[in-house]
Amino acid sequence: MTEGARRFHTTRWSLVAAASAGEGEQARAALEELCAAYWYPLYAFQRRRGSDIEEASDLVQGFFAALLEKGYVAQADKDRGRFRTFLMTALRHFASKEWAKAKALKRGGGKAQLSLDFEDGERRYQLEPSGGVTAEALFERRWALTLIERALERLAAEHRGASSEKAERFEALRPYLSGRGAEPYRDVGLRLGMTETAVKVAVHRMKGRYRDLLRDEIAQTVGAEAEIDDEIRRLMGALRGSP
Amino acid sequence: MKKPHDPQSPMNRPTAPAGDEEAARLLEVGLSDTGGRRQVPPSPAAMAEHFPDFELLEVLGQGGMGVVYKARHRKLDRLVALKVLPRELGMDPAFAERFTREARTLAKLQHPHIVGVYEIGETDGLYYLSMEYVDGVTLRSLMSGRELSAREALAIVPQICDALEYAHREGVVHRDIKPENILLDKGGRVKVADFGLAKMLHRGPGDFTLTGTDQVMGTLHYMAPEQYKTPQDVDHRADIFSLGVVFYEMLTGELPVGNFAKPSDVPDLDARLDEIVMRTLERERDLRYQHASDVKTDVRTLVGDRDADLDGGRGGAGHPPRSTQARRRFSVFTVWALVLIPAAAIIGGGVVAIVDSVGERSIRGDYHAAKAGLWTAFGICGLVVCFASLGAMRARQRPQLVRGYVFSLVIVAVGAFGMLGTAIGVASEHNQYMRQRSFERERNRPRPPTPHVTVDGVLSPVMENEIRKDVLETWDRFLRVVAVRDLTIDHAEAAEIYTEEDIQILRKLRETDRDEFERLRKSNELGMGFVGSESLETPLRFFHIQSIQLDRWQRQATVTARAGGVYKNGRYVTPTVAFFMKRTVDGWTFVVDKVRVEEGGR
Repeated sequence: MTEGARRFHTTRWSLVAAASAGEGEQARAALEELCAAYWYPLYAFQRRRGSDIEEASDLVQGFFAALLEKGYVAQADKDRGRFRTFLMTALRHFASKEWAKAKALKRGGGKAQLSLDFEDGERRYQLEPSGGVTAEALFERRWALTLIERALERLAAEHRGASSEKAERFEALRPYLSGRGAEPYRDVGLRLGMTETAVKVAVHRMKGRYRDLLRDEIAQTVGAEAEIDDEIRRLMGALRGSP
Repeated sequence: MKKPHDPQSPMNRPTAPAGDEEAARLLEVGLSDTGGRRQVPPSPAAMAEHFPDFELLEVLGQGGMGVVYKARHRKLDRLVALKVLPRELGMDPAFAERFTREARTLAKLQHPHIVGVYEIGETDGLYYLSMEYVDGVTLRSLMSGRELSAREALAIVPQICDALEYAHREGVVHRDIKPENILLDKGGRVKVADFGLAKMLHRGPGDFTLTGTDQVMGTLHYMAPEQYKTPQDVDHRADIFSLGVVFYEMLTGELPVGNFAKPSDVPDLDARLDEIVMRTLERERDLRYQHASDVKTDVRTLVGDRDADLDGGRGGAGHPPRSTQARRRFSVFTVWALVLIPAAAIIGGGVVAIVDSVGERSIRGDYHAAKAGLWTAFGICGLVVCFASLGAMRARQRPQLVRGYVFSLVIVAVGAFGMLGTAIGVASEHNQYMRQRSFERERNRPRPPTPHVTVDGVLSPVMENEIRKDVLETWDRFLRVVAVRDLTIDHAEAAEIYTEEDIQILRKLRETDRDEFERLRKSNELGMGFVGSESLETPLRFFHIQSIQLDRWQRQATVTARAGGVYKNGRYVTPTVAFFMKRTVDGWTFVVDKVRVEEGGR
């Protein structure tokens, strides 16, 4: 269990936050990757704030472009420490101050662009709950779900990559990660050709691995290892509708 | 530019949580202190103030035994792994002493395959160890990344063996061998970490609640059975078991839990590995490899033997068949049986013969000793069969469970029955022999001499003579009384004990004075205290009066007599009996005073 923390030293956000504006190829690449991963919560946020599809897409695209081009990070309040809060603050700032300027320049004119699939984003947005949720809450909620999905996706990929048997095992045991699996272990075991104990061990291991992956994902977006737990609690609060 | 991930319809995302509550739970899994397991380790920056000598670079890892930082020793400019133990430990005064004691031992361990300890200490209530920094990975992360080949596993195991063998010779048991503690540096060299730390931290089954369930689950699988059954009695062989678990896991990717498969059930694995792995995993430590070096030797033999195709060499020509071990065990047991049974017979017989011949020896005694020897041999025979069968079963590696249990129960029953039979047989032989011997003693006993009578005080010679006569007459009568009582108890036995002369006296008394004979026979006044006295296992037989002390003024005499041999607590003893004779108008009566039992003497 010691390797979990060993990864931390190269988390992307800490890299980005540490590098000064416009410097460092690594920092830029890291930021790109983060943006590519977490653009959808921003999009949903912007949509909920009242932008239509096109405007929201443009804004997010423009925001990222500015971020990557101008080293916008430098202007952000880095002390806040978290990529999530940084993005939100920066986007707000951008929307109110910079957007008009940026819009004046032709979109994408010579600038680097992230290739973001807004069509998919919009499809997903249509499925968001409509009433009673503020844009901020929606953003946080989406953020949390994105983190989870990314961790689960990595976990699934690991299993798929291993063998078809492991992939099948993943599908069967996936519900137990959250305690949703209602079927007794014995029955699952019968289906998978495993003993009850083996199922238990497999779930335990899968959970451990998932946990590592999730923490790794979160680690990429916070400034220090120590903040991971706090971030988890905060996001749990967002999901459960309490601060 | 990368896309975030598969941008398909959200409905098709198989991994998406079903709802917010589930998502929240999925997040919760990620909490580091789930189940009180781990605290967030203090960041290097936060720790730096406690360690001015070191430049703390990053957190390398965290476990139940503290946090490990990668650090640079400022003065020596060398990289170290700085292990800071949990702060709570500092609050236990017993810990400080244990820490120092164990750390001294650990610091002495210098071996290429053991992570060396440079320094130990305490600062601001924090206990720490600075250790050799290994630039590499743990075996755990290596295994979770990909499956190891048998070749790799076989390259790793001997190095662990070296480390263990060395430490064991130095008297250090690791107690917590697991993939997390086995490091591999960039050159593939194995380094075993955290030697003796488990002992220092007193980590044992009792502490499971402190370290959290997950941690324990991870560790438990590697523990030898005796580590959680009898944690106070753990020796170096526990490490050999844990090594076996790691070995098994490297080969199969699974842990050997429950009714686990042989390693060779994994395709393309040399079947001869089974024997080695299974022997490290013996639940009974006496059946395991006894030394880590033996594991290494066997692995090396295997590697050297068929270096070309370890991963693919299934059952080639010239292999010892898999049942070799079973057969070897059988032959071991056969030899044991052949040696043990006659040896047991000789020893058993010899012991009984010696015990029996302490006093006097007779042909009958030898006969009983021989028989007792046979009984012993019978018992040992049962035991040998029992163990041989159990060993054979084990060697055949887990037959069907039910049949196995029933079979072993039957075997154990046979063994127990044999031992019980032996015990009963030997005891009864011994008893019979002792009875016979006591009869023979009695029979050979010379007639009692006439007692010496002393009279206290100064009496006229006439008076003294009269008393003497009186007492001696009484004694004669007393003898007869006892003899009569004995005859009425068991004629057969009496015939064995009494001389012809005794019996003649009794016959004569019966003919001449029938009334007296009957009166004596029914009389209880004598017998009460003697016959069947509760501390004696056989009735007193008859007495040899040694002295009679006459008290003229009290009109009574104190008689000291020796009784015939009897058994007390299984030993042949001769009691000394003291009683009073009291003169009444009718003559002397006997009053029982006490029975004093003394051993030995005739």
